Amino acid sequence: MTDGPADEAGPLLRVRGLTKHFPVRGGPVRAVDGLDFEVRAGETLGLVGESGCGKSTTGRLLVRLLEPTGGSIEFAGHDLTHAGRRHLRPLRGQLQIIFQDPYASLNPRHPVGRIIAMPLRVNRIDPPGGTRARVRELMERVGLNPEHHNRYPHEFSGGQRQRVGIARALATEPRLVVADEPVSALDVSIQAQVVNLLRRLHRDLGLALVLISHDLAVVRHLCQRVAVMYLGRIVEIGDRDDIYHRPQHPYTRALLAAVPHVGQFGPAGRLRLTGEAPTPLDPPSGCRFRTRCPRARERCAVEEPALVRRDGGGQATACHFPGPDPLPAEPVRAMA
Amino acid sequence: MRQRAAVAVGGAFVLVSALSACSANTGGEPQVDTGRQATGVIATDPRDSAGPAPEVAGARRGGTFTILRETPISHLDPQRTYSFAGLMTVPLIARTLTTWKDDGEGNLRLVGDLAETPGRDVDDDCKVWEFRVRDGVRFEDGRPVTAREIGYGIARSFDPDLAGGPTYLQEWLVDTPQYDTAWDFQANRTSLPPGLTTPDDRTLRFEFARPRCDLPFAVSLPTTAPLPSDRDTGVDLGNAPFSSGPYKVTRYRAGVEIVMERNEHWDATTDPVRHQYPDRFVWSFGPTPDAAANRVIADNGADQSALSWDYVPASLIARVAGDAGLRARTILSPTPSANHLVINNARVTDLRVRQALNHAIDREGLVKVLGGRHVAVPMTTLMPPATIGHRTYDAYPAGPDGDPDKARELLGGQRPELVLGAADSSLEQQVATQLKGNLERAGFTITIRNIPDDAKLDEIKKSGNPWDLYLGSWAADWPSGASILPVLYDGRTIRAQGNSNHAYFNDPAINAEFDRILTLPPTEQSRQWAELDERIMEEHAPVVPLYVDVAYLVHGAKAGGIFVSSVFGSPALVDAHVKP
Amino acid sequence: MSLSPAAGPVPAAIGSGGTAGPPRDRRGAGHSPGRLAWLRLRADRTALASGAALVLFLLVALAAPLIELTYGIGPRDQFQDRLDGFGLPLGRAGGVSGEHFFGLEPRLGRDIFIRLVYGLRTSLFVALAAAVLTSVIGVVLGTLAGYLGGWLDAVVTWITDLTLALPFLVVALVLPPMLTLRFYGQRDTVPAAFGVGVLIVIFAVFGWTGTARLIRGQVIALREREFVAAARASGAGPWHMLFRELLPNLRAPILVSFSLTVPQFVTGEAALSFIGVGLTEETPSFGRMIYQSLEYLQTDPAFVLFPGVVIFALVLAVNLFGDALRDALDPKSAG
Ligand SMILES: Nc1ncnc2c1ncn2[C@@H]1O[C@H](COP(=O)(O)OP(=O)(O)O)[C@@H](O)[C@H]1O
Ligand code: SF4
Ligand SMILES: [Mg+2]
Repeated sequence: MTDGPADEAGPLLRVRGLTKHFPVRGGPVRAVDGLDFEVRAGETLGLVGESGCGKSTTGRLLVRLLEPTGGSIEFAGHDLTHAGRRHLRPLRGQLQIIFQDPYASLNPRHPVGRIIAMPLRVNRIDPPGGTRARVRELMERVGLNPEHHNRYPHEFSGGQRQRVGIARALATEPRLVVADEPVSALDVSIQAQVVNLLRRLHRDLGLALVLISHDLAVVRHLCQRVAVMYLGRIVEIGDRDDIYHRPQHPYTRALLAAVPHVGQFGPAGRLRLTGEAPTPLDPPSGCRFRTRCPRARERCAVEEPALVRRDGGGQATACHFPGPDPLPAEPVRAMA
Repeated sequence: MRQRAAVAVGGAFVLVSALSACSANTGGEPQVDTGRQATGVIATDPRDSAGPAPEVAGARRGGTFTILRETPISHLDPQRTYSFAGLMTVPLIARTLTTWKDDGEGNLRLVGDLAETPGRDVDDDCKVWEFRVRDGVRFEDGRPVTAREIGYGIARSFDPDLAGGPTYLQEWLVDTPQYDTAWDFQANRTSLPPGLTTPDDRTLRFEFARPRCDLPFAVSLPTTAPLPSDRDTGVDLGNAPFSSGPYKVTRYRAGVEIVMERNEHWDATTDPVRHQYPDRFVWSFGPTPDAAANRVIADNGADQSALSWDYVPASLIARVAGDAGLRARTILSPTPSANHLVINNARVTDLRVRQALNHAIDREGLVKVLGGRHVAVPMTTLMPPATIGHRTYDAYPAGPDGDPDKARELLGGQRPELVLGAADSSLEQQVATQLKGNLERAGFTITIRNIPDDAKLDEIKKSGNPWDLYLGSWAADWPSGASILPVLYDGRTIRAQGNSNHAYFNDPAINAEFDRILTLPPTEQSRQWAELDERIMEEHAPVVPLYVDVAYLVHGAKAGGIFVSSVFGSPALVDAHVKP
Repeated sequence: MSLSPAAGPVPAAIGSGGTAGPPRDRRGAGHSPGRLAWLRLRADRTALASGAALVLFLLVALAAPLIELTYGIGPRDQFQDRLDGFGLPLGRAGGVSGEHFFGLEPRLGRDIFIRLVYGLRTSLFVALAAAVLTSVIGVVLGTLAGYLGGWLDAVVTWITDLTLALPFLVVALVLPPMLTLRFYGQRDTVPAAFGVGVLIVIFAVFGWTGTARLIRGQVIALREREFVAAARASGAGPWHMLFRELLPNLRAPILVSFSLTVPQFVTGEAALSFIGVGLTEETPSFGRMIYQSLEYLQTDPAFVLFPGVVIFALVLAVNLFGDALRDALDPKSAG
């Protein structure tokens, strides 16, 4: 199943059946277990879900910090799935990542100018006007004083450091940036500044953005489309307004209900997420959400729901019993 | 860390102040009896062998005499005894055919012990010897000692299970070093080895294939301790020996303590050398030489009548020697243990080079390196001065500190390059450094090559060994030239390995001399050995005589009668007594 | 850590969330962590004192032949005429005089001062060379194992365990005679440098495991840091990874383990010389002097004192400086 109509030039990123299993003692961790989605050029896609559902793993797969166990990743017409370092090389500059932890993501031994120039350097790119000028320009663009290029990360605050990380990601003028929880490590007061910066950059530079976040508010602020992940799978994907205003999947509804002032939708607002998500070492049979789903029925344990488009629109849901309406009279099976 | 720095600085201060408190060392030569000459003989007059031994001046009966020693005595089986500590202890519990009358000052006399005299050379050819067993000697159970029990003692020394003791008698009787295969003791427990007979209860007769003129000496070793065959417990005899001497073992705690008390069946009138002064002797094992010396110096309680068995350790010598109050409690005596710079004659074939080596050595400096006159005294002869008949001479007079000019002159402009093999022990390394300095001063080029300490002896005993020079020492089992010169310098004995002749010296004329002197009556031999000693040095200079070890002992204020054995260089216990 | 007030003038990280920190020194150049460590080190009096002492030791060691020339006495010259009958130095404090600054050794009567100067040379050379070798081996193997992981890590870990299981004393006892025999036969002169070299090799062979483990752990921790991932995501090759991203972050642990191994080797050389391993009597060495001196504690304390104080000062200086360096590199550990 695909989401939405394909764009004339084709999507910038096409992910099919993307799978990542980590071999650990006690069987593989099914961190990512069959994702299908696309990102068009200049589009922003939000990837939301509880901690541990496989968002970061997905992000790292996209920039090929990890090699997929199965499925495929196609970027700008190139198959990245199992590409080696040499094949990836020309594409690296077009595909960048911003990390969550602004402390860990900058080499403490390098001045920030060198950090920002690193992608240029390793890809032997000599930008017009020279690396120095490019670094100054980048620093200005992300709101840093270019005079400070000689300073070291420890001399900057968390928000400033995240700006450095963003500048580094932009150095090679990428077409797609994966931002993995770019603001969740920052003080709330600073989060908005960085979110706004990302928004501005997206607008000014026209780059595509995959924004990974557990924070629905941030995603709503930045993303045109949203994919909701649960236990390594996408359970619902669609345009922002559809997801926030017309969530079909019980999990999406539960997520939104947990966040005040984000979505409000009738009786399903009562939905509450209880307990913890099962371990990806041993996901439940059928629908993975059934152990916490208030709508779960017999069928949910037997048959895994496919991600199907509803109403002919761009929204797709993986649920046997989607929607806000009360279920037909059938005894609800109590589930743990 | 701040604390660490403070402690460190404090420690340094303490050391510095300790140092500034010490006074100047102005020297002052220690007194050592260096010119001592052994005037030993074999007693021909039977009265010399008669008991009782003369009383020791000031000695009284009673008390407990304690001996402190780090290493335990592993057993007290006379036939298996060869260690110095064992050889000095066994006389208290066992008598032997002959024994040494020794005043600790070099006056030695071999006398009959179980025998009435030191033996009779029946045909004056040293091949047949007879010993007449003394009347009145008894075992600890009162039984008389007869020729049978002495013969049995010698017979059991053939038992391979009881190896470890001297092997002279065994080898001589069957005329082969493989004595235990030549005569099987375990299969012949009721008979005596070939050549040994007991014509009657009071006669022991040895018959040898070759002249064995040193037999009177050899039978002073504990191989001839008597034992009734019904009391032979095999290896177990080691911790419960059956006494024929003035004491018997009453407690034996292996590795910890041995207690001996009086044997009431011992009769002083039958014994020419032993006494029975203390009520008991206690060997106490464990304290290090340092600890033992410090204990007897402190002189408290039981330690007042204690002897520290080991020589005063180098770390304490200057302190003990410098303490006038301790002088009466120390014993300083040269020993028969002789040390040479051995020249590998198979390599260094030029006599003038060997002579130059003899001129070059600074013996005075060497003694300083060794720790002074309480450790070593210089020697210029092949045989140590404690040898019977020894005569002092210096074939290459070089003064106390060497004569490099004379050495150079002998070398006549050549610069021999010699390799000195030295054990890698700290002391021998320093000695080697000293010798190298002496020799290079005299025109030699010396390379020191290290040999692992535990392997050195085996290595230099190999006839093809690669070194030109090495340090060697020899302590004979009895102070006769026969147990020194032929053993060390008879070239016909050189084998692939296991050589005692580690100078690899071989001269037909000298070999012939050995053969001649060995067949002379023992009493005539001593003078001739001394002459041969000088002749070998003058004509061949096969080694550089360096020094003899010096024994330096300390004991408690109430310990009396201790002297250093002129035969073994260890403390003798036969006169020991506890002062009131 | 030191007697000085806690790092006063050292700038702390800029805390504000604005777009720029307050303007600071020329051109707004920042303080690299290395430079900060240097500033902290310079502000630390213990570091200064121990550092100065180390420099002095090094100078003395380097200038040993010059010192010999001015002093007029060589390390092998003997003055036995100035010893008494026990082989102990005549005069006050172990024979201290205008001619023999630290007196004479008992027995051989060699000059303690000049032997200490040369012993310092030997000890420092052995310790520094062994520490450098140790660091190189440890860093290379530790980095490879930590960064590449997989079978290489398994192999390096295996070699580490094997090395740790090797009985140091047995090898130290057996190897030098074997090598000497192999290279110099039984009669050739063995140059002192050979013994020194063998000693260095033995120390390096046994000493690298600690550094390797430390570095391996550090690299594994660093490997998980996101700046490494960032470089990888940008397509950085192994060379850039190792030398640009990892090594600059390993400088501190390398320096720390280096500063820990140096005094270890100084005392190790001392201990080995005592049991007759490594250096011969002819090579002046701290170890031999110290251990030979111990038996003179009662009879010639000066002989114990001079080498003791010098080696103590050396090891103390190295340790204090190492501690100060550690504190400067990682201010959190100061205490
Ligand atoms: N390297 C790894 N080895 C084993 N398990 C991993 C590894 N990385 C992530 N996981 C597991 O995969 C699951 C998804 O992790 P992650 O992608 O980090 O989740 P999220 O970013 O959504 O919080 C988690 O259960 C996590 O424990
Ligand atoms: S499929 Fe069933 S269990 Fe899964 S979400 Fe839908 S209703 Fe719930
Ligand atoms: Mg995550």
